[in-house]
Amino acid sequence: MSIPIYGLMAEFEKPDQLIHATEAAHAAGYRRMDAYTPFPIEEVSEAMHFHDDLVRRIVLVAAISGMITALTLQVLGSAVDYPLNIGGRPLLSWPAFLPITFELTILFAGIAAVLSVIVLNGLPQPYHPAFNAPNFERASIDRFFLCIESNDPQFDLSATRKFLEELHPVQVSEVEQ
Amino acid sequence: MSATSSSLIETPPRPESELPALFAKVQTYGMIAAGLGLVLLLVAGFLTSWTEVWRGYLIAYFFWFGLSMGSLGIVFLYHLAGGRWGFIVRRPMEAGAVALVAMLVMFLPIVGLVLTSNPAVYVWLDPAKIASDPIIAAKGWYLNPGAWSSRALFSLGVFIGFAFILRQSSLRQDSAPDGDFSLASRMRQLSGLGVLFYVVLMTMIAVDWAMSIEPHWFSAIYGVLFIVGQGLSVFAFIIVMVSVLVRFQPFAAIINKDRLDEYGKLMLAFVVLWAYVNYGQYIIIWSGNIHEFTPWYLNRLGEGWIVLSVFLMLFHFAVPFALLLSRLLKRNLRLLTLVAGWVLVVRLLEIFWLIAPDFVNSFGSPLIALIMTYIAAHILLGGVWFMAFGWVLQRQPVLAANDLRNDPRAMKGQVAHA
Repeated sequence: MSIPIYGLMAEFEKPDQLIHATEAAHAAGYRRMDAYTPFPIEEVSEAMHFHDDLVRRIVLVAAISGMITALTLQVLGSAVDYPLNIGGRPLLSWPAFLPITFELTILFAGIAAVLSVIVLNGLPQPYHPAFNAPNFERASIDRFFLCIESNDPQFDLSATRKFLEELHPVQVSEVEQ
Repeated sequence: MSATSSSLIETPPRPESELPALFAKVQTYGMIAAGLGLVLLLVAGFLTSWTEVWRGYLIAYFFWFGLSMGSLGIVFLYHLAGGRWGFIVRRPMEAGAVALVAMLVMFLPIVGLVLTSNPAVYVWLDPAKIASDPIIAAKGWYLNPGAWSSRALFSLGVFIGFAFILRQSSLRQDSAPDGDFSLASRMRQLSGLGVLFYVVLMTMIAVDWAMSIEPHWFSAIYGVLFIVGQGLSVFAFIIVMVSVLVRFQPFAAIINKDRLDEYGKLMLAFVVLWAYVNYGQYIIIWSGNIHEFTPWYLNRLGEGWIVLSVFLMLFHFAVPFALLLSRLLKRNLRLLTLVAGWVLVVRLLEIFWLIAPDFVNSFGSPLIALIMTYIAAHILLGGVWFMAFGWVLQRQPVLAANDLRNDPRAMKGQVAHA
């Protein structure tokens, strides 16, 4: 065998089976795994103890930067660099600054959200080994997949295969790298 | 349910059989509070003046009436949009909507006040004002006792009609045959119509009951300020209520962190919406800078009211907004309940802020007397509201049956997806 193995892919018919399998895999000590489902199932990420909230933190930082940018821009523009008397109002008329502040906050947060989701997911990605698994196209139709990856410290081809088969999948297959 | 979505409470849940006793307790305490509030209001009346009693009563009335209206709004929303979060609170919200009957009874004194042309609350009833003020005189075709009272009673009647028909259909659905969606679709159609009536009539009510206190001033978004406030109050109320109900079966089995998160998000949405509509009104009046519109804000930006205005900006919007952004907080029963309780407190201040400055600055109410009567009226009206709420809750199953599309218990063995 010279072709390296990416992992073992188990195929399930029902989402509940996948949730159960993920919980069992986590309990058995597996950490490097991923699930593929036709629709988002929050319970699966919970079962995997997936707690990566980097996107949320990036969005928060971007939103605050947007807010600060907008306020600075308007305060400098209206009160410092080009002080114009408009309708006798104070130069620092903050109520008028709020729409732009709101817009830039949302704009920065929105762009940051889209970009960080793309970049942090490693997209665009023309090749992914998971697609080597047989029947994998049904991950976007009606089947639920769990892949235990070979770089998991506990991964052992025969032991892991035995473990997965005990979870009553439709089939377990080796995924080529 | 998966093993990871752990229960929200540490102690084992109490059985469903203890719920009627809880609702009976709500009713009894409500009755006691109502009696106490009535005594306090009478004492306040003798100590200060009956004018202040009427004014405080009207302002407090808006909150409890609004809680019923918000409940009715949730019932409409539930039938139109569904969702498991709505399923859980469907019966309590139906009860809150039906409590409008009690609110109608509590509104009759104000109708009486208007029909006897007593100008304690509404200056446009004062013949001297009508004679001396051409603007008030010109609005007489709209602002007169007969028209005002018929509009008020008509609106309350329409809302009560919707509340009753929807509750009756909902109770009938409990015993409908499996897979029969005819009642569900009938309630959906009715709710579509209901939302329309809600927005139009609630705008009219806001104009009639509150905006006409200062009959010179007007604002097109004024009704929306009340509608959004009602939405915020009712979501804060839902969270506080859920924190109690989750200690009992069957709620303990179906309220989990995801539901809590949903209530938190909806409350956050209304916190933002509240800021949006208030700022919308403010920026338009501020940019226009026209004498016709500015007095309303000048009232609220001077003479001590500015403290409350800034307080509301910070603690009705900024602080709850920042806190509710956190996912951790929204999924923590204790913390979310604390924030919701706080929102209910600032709601009471906000309604006072919305109406009271006009009495104090334009019509010479002593502020301290108004605050006293306002508190007493809250005890009375809150008592009556909870009395009605507890009474209705005891007389219906706590969860709807035969609501297969939203009932989490009907989804055992499958994962319902977003």
